[in-house]
Amino acid sequence: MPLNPEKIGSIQAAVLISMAITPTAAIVIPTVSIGASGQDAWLSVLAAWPLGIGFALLYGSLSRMNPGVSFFSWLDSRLGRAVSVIAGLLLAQYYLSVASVTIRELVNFLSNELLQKTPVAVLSAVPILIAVYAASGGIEVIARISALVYVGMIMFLALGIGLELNQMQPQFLFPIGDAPLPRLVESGLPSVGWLSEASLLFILAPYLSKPRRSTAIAIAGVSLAAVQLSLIVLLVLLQFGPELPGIMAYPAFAAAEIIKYGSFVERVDLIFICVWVATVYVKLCIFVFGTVHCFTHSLRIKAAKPFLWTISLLIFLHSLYSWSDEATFLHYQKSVSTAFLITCNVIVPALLWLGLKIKRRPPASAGESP
Amino acid sequence: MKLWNVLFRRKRDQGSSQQRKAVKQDGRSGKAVSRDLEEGLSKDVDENLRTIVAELGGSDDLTIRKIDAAGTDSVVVAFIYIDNLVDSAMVNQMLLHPLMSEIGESRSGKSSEEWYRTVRDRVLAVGRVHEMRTPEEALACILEGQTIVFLQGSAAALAADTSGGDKRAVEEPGSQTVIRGPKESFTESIKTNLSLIRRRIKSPRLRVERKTLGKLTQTQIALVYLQGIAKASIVEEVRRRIDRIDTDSILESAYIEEFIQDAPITPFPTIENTERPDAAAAGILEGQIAIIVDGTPFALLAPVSFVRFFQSSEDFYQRYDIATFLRLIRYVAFFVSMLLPAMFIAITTFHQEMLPTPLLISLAAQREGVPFPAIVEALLMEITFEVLREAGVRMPKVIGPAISIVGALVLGQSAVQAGLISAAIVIVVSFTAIASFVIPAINMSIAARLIRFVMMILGGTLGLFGIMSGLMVLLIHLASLRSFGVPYLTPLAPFVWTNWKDTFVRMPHWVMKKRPPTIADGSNLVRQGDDQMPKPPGRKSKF
Repeated sequence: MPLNPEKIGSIQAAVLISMAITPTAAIVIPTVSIGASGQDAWLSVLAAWPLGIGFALLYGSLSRMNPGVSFFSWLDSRLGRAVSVIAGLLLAQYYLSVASVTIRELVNFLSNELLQKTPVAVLSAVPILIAVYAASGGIEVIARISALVYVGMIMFLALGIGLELNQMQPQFLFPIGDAPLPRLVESGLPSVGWLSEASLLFILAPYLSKPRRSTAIAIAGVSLAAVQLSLIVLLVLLQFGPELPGIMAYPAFAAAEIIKYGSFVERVDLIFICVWVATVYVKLCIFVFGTVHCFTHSLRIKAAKPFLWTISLLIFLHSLYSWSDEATFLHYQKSVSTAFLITCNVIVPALLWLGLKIKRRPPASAGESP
Repeated sequence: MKLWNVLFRRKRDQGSSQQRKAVKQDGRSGKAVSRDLEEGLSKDVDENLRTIVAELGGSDDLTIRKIDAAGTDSVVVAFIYIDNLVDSAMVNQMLLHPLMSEIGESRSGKSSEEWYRTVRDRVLAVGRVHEMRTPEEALACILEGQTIVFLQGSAAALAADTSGGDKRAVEEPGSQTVIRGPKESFTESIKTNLSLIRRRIKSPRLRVERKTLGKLTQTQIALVYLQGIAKASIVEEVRRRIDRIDTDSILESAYIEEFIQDAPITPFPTIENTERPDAAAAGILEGQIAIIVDGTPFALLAPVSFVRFFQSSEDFYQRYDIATFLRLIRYVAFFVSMLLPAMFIAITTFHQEMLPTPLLISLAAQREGVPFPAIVEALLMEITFEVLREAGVRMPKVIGPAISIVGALVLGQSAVQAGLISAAIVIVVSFTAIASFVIPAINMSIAARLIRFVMMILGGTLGLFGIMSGLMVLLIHLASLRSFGVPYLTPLAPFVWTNWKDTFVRMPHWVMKKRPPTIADGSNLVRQGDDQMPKPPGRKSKF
């Protein structure tokens, strides 16, 4: 009876991809990129965009080969059971890890900025419980809430830009192109890593109402994310210049903190923080769903619900105990995260693509010249 | 008449199967009785009467009228009906009088068969007359308010529709009032309610499917929809869900609502109810299916989406700009009703920095001496208000003003003066209460009231983060709901552009060319012609 059971539209899918990238990237990228390349940070984010589109083409090309079954069933039929299980477990580990990082990032922020006295375990448990609830509803439900939260986020981003106009100083962007190339590369790498999260398309593919549009969906998702990240970096640069953001913990929210109109519009950063929290929740829902999907589909587990709870507990513990303190976590974000993201999102899919291309070649028959 | 008999007999068969079930499940009382009931009627009038009377336990409201042949003691005709369920004047004028005249004139010399045909085809002067062959069928008809006519020598009886009795007149709606628009509301009579819809939709495509539900109450219900405009799959689903209801009583449409709704565990209504015939007709014209239940003035409408609960009939009778403004106010009121106390608690407890300094100082001064934290203060006030509201609904009208004075003066003003609560919380709770009355659908308003308490607890324990988390849970819940397969958050998510013309804004009627495709049949979406924008002849371009 449902209109389109368990199917998601192309716009919903593009928004899902964008929401898988921006919530956490919006917190880290301004600090890291501006720290590395100063006033040219926005250029480095823009430069990462074509690379992101390259990834989108790769993911789109792989997804279009899929006849509409789960990614792992398809790998199983094309490359064999072993490859399917290994790829599934690897991706499950990737989704689990990103979900843990997302929670940790949220909890660090909340315990630093909003709820200093609330136990960290409580702050971690709330989002994971919400993610479990959403994931149990399936990707269709997540896609719907994602679209609504995305619209809210865009509205508040536009509102933020409007309210911050009187604080912006365009001279902070000059001189343009001052940073040397190695600095630009260092600055753009985190954005490249985050944009590679568009690999989410692999698990979305069987749910798409129009699977032929996979490549366009991935490109749209990556582009939406890249434009948003560039805007946020520009916003921070225009308010704080090229020096300060590199040593600030949350420059995007600091920009909202200084909004002031008259004596009644002030300290509205909390409203923007609330919207950001909602986007983080959506990202978490996507990655909890992704972890369970990869795990159960690669191992052909029919009853996913018990694993949803078990995996969520694992994510909860992982986020609490994998990083002893904030410094360790920041080090992970700056040094390890990008390499990890690129390995799981670029190298593994590229190897799979290569394997599929080789496997597709017809075997040379006897007597034929090589 | 023949056609009617064929049609009605089919429906009666459905009814009788229900009745048969009822008799079987009703009591261990009796296999013997049920076997008798399933057997055919006797040719002897007295025997048939005895069976019916025995089955009804000699009930005092059962009326039997026997008519003898002229100059003999032998009964030739008998009427049986239940007092107050029938229209007595109709029984006298349309059944008794013509039959007695006929007995006098043409009874003699006719065979039983001929006499039966004469009575059936020429004597009984009512619209609906049908044959029945078993006491079981006769019983069902008597309980529906029909009059049964037994004829000596005939193994069939005739049921004449004389249902009537005391009924409430069509009055102004009590809970869904409008300033401009029809002032009629449904009544407790299914016949009246169906006629109120028929008068608004004079289309041969309007379908009415009658069913009987409730083994003991034998409640008549009717599914009303427009053939070709309501989606056939949804009509079939509604039918299927209603057919699987197996209960002994249906006393109000809410019983049916609970049996057929998509999500049993949710504070949000997934089926609309209305006491306004114009609202029901508007829903039917958009492709909804109305379920009218005998004995209640509230009709059900399905499928429905979340945004529909913020629309009032009056939106379509007012100018579209005014209607849009009022609709937006309703959405704001919904969020105020759900979130304002929680926001107050969160901000005054966790995020005082959000308040402008003069307001913060004023609030701090008011709260000085209040012995409770903000959350306890707010919860106390909210619970007090809910008690007052419930008392307002239940108490006799005569003492209403007294309760209002007690509520406003004693609980409000005196509590502030005694330093038990701050004046700010009184303002917050009052505004929240007023906002909750703005929502046109009472069931949606109640949902907001329930959620308010959860939000207050979240705001009091985790501040804005808690409220945000609560809102996310709410959003996920709403996104997972469906009403007869239609996503509850349509047209927001999934996004359906056609429906947006009547969601947050109410576009002019001439812009809303199509019916909502999520509800209406895809082959019949267009409801009006192109280019319907008014173009008065004198209007010229100013350029």
